[in-house]
Amino acid sequence: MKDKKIVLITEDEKVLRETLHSGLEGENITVVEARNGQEGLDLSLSLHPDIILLDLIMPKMDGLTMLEKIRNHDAWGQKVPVILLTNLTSSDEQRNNDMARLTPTYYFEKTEMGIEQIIEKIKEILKVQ
Amino acid sequence: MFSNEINESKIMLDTIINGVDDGIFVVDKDLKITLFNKKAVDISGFSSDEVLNHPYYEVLNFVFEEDENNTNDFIKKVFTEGIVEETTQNTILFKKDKTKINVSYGANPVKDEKGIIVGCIVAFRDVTKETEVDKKKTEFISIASHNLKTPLSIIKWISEFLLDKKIQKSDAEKEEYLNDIYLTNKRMIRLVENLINIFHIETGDGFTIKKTSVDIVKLIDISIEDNQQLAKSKNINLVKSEGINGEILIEIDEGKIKQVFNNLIDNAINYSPDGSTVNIDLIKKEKEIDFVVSDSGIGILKEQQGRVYEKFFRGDNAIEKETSGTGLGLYISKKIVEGHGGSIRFESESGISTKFYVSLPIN
Repeated sequence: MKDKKIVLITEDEKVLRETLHSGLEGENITVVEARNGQEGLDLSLSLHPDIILLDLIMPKMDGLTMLEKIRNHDAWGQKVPVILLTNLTSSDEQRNNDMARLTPTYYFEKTEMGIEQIIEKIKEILKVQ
Repeated sequence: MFSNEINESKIMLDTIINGVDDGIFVVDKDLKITLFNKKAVDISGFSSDEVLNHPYYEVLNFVFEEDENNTNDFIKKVFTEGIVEETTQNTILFKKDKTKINVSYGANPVKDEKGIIVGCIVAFRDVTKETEVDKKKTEFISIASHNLKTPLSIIKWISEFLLDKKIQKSDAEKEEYLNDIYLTNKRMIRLVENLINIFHIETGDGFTIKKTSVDIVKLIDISIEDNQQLAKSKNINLVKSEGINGEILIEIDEGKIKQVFNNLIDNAINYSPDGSTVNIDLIKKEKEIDFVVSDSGIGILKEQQGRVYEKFFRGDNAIEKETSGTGLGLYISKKIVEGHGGSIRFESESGISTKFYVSLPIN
């Protein structure tokens, strides 16, 4: 058993990545950052984080491709909860299809959700007291 | 007398059918084409001899754009269901020369006095251009909204973070976050300026160059100052050539040329490695003046160099490095510079450097 839960933030916008990281500090969580989908995939497979925060549009590998690779990789990959954070305007139908196909996946729009709500959601998923 | 009247009506009908701006054809109950007007010939490329008395499905291949293997058999539907069929999904027609065009259509059943369907009349038109414009618009809205939402969410998240009293922050941290807000806000202002310009260029409305006498040396200083924070955040040295001094007055649209300078400097910073140098130079010649920005960044791939001024175009290596660009900056810059009677060009080696030259005429 790991002492601390690991949260992987995969986000190409440095400021968003760092703000999320700072927001999660002091929550008895180990935060790891990835700058693109490829880094996110490598870190996911080596660290097996307890939750992944995932941007969709990123260089080198986009978020959905990274998520599909994780889901198809192993038993851990099939179960790890993922929060998609995006500003992409996609149709509800497309979004619902993606989420059903890649469950357990949650979908947050960055402009809709505040940092506090995202942190609450992470804690709820991880059940960190 | 009676047959003359019929003859006149037929001539009139033929004139109408061949004069309308839609392609029109009629299919009989054996599914053979019995009428094919002049516009239908123009659109499809088939002559009437090539289609008349042939089953429509042997010559006219209507398919769904989403899946070209899937025939859009709206004519069959008219016969089996007796209803009027209209375009609901993007549809393609293969012309005689096998090229594809987007079409819209309306198909009506022809019924005899007993209400039995004896034929189908189809009107269709080439909507390739309209479909392309629609796609571009959708793509533009999607890119614009994504690019506007990203800085908005950055500002939202940081402000929330700064306002959250539960999270302890040092003064240095607060300053760093405020700087992020400042830079992000600036990025958004430039994006909005670019979007407004695109709108004016696209609609052909309001994209006018209003020239006044401007000191270009001072304008360069302002542009450098404008980009200094961004350069600092990437530890990039923004260097103005020593030769840029004094006062050089030229007739330009100050706001628009400043946008060009900012676009070029912004690109140079964004696509250069941290800690590198971006040089800015001004070369005065007899009849023109060159503004030059050179960097040691990712460069432009040789095979893509012919496309850099295309609207929405972004180099593969640029997308890989930075996802947030719009592919509008250079397109707009070229329009602005050419609007001044000037020219823009570049020298670039992929992975090594890029040098952009903006030549503006001295009046």
